[in-house]
Amino acid sequence: MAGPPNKKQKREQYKNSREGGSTTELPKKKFYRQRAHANVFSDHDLVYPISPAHMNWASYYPAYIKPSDSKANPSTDNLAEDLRNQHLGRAAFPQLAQDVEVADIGCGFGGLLVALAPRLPNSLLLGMEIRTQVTEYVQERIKALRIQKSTEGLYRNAACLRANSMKFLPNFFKKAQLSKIFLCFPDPHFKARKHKARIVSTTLNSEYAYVVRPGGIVYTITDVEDLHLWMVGHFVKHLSFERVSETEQEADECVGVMRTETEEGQKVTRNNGQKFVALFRRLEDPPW
Amino acid sequence: MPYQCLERCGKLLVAARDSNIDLFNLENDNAFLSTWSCNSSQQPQNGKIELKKDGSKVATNESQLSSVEVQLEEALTPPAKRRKLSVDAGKPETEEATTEPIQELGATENGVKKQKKQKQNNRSNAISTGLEAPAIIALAVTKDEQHVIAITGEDKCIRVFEIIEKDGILCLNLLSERIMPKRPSSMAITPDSKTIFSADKFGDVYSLPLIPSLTTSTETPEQNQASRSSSAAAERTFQPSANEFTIHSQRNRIALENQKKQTNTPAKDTTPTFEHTLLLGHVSLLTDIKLASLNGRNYIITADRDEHIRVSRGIPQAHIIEGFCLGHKEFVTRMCIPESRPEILVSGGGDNRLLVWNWEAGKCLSEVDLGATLRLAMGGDGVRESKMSVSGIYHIRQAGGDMILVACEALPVLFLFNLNPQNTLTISNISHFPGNILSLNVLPTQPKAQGSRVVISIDNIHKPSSTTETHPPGTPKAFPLVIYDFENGPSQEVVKTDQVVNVEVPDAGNLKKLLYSLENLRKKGGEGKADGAEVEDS
Repeated sequence: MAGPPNKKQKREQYKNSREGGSTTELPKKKFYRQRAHANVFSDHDLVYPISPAHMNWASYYPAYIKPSDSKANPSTDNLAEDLRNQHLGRAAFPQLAQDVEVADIGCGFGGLLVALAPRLPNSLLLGMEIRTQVTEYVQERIKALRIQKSTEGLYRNAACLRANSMKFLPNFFKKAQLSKIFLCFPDPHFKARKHKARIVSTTLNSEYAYVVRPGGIVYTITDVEDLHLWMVGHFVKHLSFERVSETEQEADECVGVMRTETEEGQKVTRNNGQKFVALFRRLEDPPW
Repeated sequence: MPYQCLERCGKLLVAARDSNIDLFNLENDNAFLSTWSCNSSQQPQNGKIELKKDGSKVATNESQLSSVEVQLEEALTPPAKRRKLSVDAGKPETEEATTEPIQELGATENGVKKQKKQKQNNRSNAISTGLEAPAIIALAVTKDEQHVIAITGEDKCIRVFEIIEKDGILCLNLLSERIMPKRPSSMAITPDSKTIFSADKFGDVYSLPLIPSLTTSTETPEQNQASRSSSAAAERTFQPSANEFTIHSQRNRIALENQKKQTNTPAKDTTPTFEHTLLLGHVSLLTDIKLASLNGRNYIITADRDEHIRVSRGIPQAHIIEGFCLGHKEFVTRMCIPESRPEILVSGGGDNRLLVWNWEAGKCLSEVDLGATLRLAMGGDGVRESKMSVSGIYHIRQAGGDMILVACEALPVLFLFNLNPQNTLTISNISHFPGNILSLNVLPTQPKAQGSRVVISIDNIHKPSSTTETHPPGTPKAFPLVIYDFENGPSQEVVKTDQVVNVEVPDAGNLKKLLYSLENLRKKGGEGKADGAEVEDS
């Protein structure tokens, strides 16, 4: 048990005071801090859908729910689908008009997500974070921002959920669903023994290749040169990816955002640290 | 001692009990032929020595290796792994003697710290050898029926055997022993009998040639040793991955300072020396691997503890994931692709359900609730309400069509399902046995008999439906291997295999660990609750 009891109490009080969901005030990070490392191999207490079809996105993107007209004139198709749903033990839930297309894996406190949401107004963005407290922070942050900018309708396309994306990425996304994946300042896992826990590895890249459509981009940034070389090495070695040229990389507006808007990026700037960026394009699968 | 794995190799039945493999002749009244025992054979050579060398190197890593130590290490080369062997006590004792000087050397040189390290090594060794000799956890036979492959868990070893005739008796001849980087849990052999696919508990799948190529395998431990010590002498300079820009806290800064003071590191080289290729990997524990072929394309299908069944392309495009079969709510343990229906996959695991898949499309076609099936058949009483985990799914071809046989861990029943052309499973029968079913294998159909026969391994030590209660001593033991005939529907057993030898049974805990390990895959609920409180202190 970490922290003195009154700290826990204060957190609880703070979170209770925010409940109700109408506050426009951004949450304070100090009530949501959590140890920076999580064991990706342990089970945690994760909630994840059995498959992408079982995922109820409606509560995350309420503004994008497909207007349902199926109730008015139930076609046989829908009936069959409902029966199938029942058979598979899933409740029929509202569907979205479009799919999530951008994933920020390990989104942290959500700096990139919040910066990208207005810049990519036509895509749905999802932040995935393994730490409960931090996820809660981002969810509160987006909630508050949505209310703040309700007249402009901003931030409705951004959401965050708790997930271990190293294990359960295919439970959330269908094949070739994503156009962009962001891997920003991942845990470097310096020890060789821990290298399998790194977010980039030859074997894990296959899963990124599965969820990213051909032509889609995986963005990486880190302040650890060693990790940068590791990520470049593993992506270049993987036959489903090629590295994006420097000119094209610098022309991408997301790269600038990634450099300056992520919490970790700002921290590195404060410490006069280096930032290493690399982009990788998903190639078409060869015929076979 | 019951048999935990069964395979059939032509007319031979290959059966593993503990760390031994018995051969039976199925054509000659199921007579016992010979036994290969892990104890009596030479211990594996390459990998484990390294482990030990690492241990001793770690123990002396502060300074460069002195020549004395190198010599001592070289002297250490011939005996392999230090393993708890109670039977032939001679060898380990001499081994112990050779290692002792090093321990003392370490102790005198740098005191308590090293002794602690050594102790840890011993402890981990002791843990890794839960049984006295490594128990066999999986068997496979090549399609050409020339080779038998066995996996042992504790020493992560893949052994390849050929079947030879010695003094007129068929027996297994050990061809190669390869220590994998992580503990293998399942394997598959390509139809051309040339390549082994090994899936391990770290989530990775490796391919390795059935017969290791000569160029790599002839490297003797001595050569290996020489190259290793020379590389150690080359003194690779240690480069910390972090620099002053990447660290932000005081404690990390101190750690980095300490790292910079350290000039060299022990060259840690734990990669195996034999040819092996990493094909794919899950971030989970792999439980089963199957190779499939459809429309002229090869696929690798892997199942893991996190409910996934992954369909990847075969070599050389194993890095491309074609799809997933997602639908299980608990760990997946076994998959079966009926030979006559290669487009279908039947999977089972810890959620009491069997799912039938169109695996290429990742589409679930039908499902069966095993618990409900069992309750229905037994009228609801005498059935444990607790979870079941599927320990085996097998396919047999009957005159009436395809059948799927299912065994569950620690249950004395065998489910017989009809696999209908509509891709559904309907229960045909539930057969009861005097003990829990451990393994099963399909026997060739005899010309005169119409029905298929299977050989079933039965736990004759534990009471039926129990993994802890044993039969009281003195009660007559059931035969560990029974043959079961499906002629005119299921009938009683017809032949009983000879009992080999009444070997002593390992102690209860180890036996349970060996025979009933699947239930350990289940995720413990509530464990993650502490995780929420894992709050940073600053």
